[in-house]
Amino acid sequence: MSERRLETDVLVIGGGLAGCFAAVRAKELNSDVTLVEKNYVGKSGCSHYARDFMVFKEDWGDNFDEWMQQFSQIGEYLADRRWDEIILRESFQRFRDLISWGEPFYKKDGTVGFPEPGEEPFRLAFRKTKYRRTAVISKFGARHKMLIARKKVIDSGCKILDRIMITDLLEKDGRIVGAAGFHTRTGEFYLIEAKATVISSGGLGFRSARYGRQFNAGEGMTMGYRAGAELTSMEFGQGMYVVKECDTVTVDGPVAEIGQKRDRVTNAKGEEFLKEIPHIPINILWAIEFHKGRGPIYHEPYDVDREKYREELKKYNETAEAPIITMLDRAGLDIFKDRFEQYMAFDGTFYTGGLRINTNCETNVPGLYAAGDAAGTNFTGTTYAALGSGTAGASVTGYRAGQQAVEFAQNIKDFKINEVEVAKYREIVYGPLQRQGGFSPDHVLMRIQQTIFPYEIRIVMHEKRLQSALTMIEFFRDHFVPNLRASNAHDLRSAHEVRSMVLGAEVMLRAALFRTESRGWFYREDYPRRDDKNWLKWVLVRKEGEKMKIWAEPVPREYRGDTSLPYEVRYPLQYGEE
Amino acid sequence: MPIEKIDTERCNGCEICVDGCPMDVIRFDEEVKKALIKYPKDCIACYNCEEDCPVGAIYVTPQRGTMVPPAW
Repeated sequence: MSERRLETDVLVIGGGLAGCFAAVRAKELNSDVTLVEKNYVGKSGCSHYARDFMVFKEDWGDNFDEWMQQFSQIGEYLADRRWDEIILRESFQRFRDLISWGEPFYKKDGTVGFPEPGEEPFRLAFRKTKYRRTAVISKFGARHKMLIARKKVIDSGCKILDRIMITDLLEKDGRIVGAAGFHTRTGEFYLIEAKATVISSGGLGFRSARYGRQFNAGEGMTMGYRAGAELTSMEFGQGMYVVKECDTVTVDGPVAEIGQKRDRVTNAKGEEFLKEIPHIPINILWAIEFHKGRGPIYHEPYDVDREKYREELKKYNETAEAPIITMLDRAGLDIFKDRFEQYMAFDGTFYTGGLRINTNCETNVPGLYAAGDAAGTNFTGTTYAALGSGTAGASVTGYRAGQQAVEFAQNIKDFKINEVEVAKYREIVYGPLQRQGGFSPDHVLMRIQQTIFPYEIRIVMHEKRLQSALTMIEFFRDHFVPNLRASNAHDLRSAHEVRSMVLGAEVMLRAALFRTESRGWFYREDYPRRDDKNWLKWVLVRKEGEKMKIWAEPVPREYRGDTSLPYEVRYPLQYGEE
Repeated sequence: MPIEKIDTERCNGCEICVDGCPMDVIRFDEEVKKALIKYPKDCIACYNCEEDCPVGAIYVTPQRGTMVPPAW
């Protein structure tokens, strides 16, 4: 098959919001920029499905200390407060950047448009509960927000390469000097030599069931790991309930917005086991209910106005998210008349864990930067802090990563790799195409999902079960991955995703075994309480030779909150039977 | 499979769905100049194609239906 070789100052891998920001910023600083995406920049990445943008501004009445306190508390004192401050402080400027790119937002009067610099947009304020106080978010006004971003990237003068899947980073003298991959339709080999590289390719999603996260396989994190980059907080993952008949979505978002006071959720015995729905631990509480043998779990019919709901949903549809009305109608589900069953889906690691970076978005490997969900900022600690924090985080980290990558690139002269190395990368990329027999990526994908997704593995965790899952993943690693076989470029993509997911699963499970406590969304049945004495720490993972090294680093003292508070006050989220 | 059909009578060959599919399920059939469901096994029911189709040629069912154990 033919090959393409390119050279660039800054290579950005992954064209969601973080990647677009990185590319645009790097270009602003007069760099030569190439943005590659395994799908299509403009319709891929989680950002395409995002609806909210968290924007903080003191002039609009936001209280800095209150927000910081919220991140700390919801993140259960593992939130990195340096990043919390940066993301809060810079969210407004990135919001303005988006408007300057031509991104519409909802205005205060409910119309869609372009708010003036001093004008507060429409912002949805959350009801104040003991779990959440100040989350105030604005809303994107266009469904195709990422096509607007694509246009900005192109108009800036960056080069976009769609349908290029990057599989491995190029290494030279302990630095990263670009990446290798292939075109997922033509199969062409791509070698892109770069002075600096930004990974913005999203979370480790195991091609999850959840809407908007289904294409994420964590390739950026795992290729970084293989090149020596440290990963942080990979034990934290997210599970959420989905509607059985439309098994990629939840339907409660719009309901909360139009004033549903309380979701009524009942177990098999008809008991309403959620007396008050806190925002954060709800998924854990559901999973525990299943675990106790009290499934199936039903959501009782909503008692909000049906027409209002459909109107709100239409707005959802116009600006992002799933076409929920269509989906519900096709499933024959009337959520105002019928109770509907929901069950658990595991998302993978988003929001918090990923490639460990400093506040300049540098990893520990020279020439390698990370942004968005691929980056481990720890800014929301163990959980998901606020709606719109993903897009705000992606924008802020993307911008910073682009800027720093340019600074690094300016001092790099030698970034060419030799032909022996090129042949090595070609071998890795095409390996699965050259095998005669072996295992199909579809088979291995199914086996990974069946190992990771059951609620009792990664949502209600226990050493024995984590260990048994790890045993299977090790088998996949040793037996399936070296024998993956693909017969065309499309399946080659799946093969490399599977290769990434197996490694990512091993990192995740080992990190989960390592943290012997429960915290936030991380629930260990065998260690059901927080252990402030031993575990106000971040878990880190790094490749050492062929071994996976895992260790913990204490969070700075000033991040730990008031440790003298009684447990129930310090941790308003309770797992049920503590 | 979530993506059930692309109506070739209606399809105008604009390729919006071919570009927009995040799972590379849809390809372009050069011979007849229409979109083609090539790898339905990988469809994730994201609705990009159906929502963006200018002529309403695509139908997607809302259930992926294979990999999440129901937990009870």
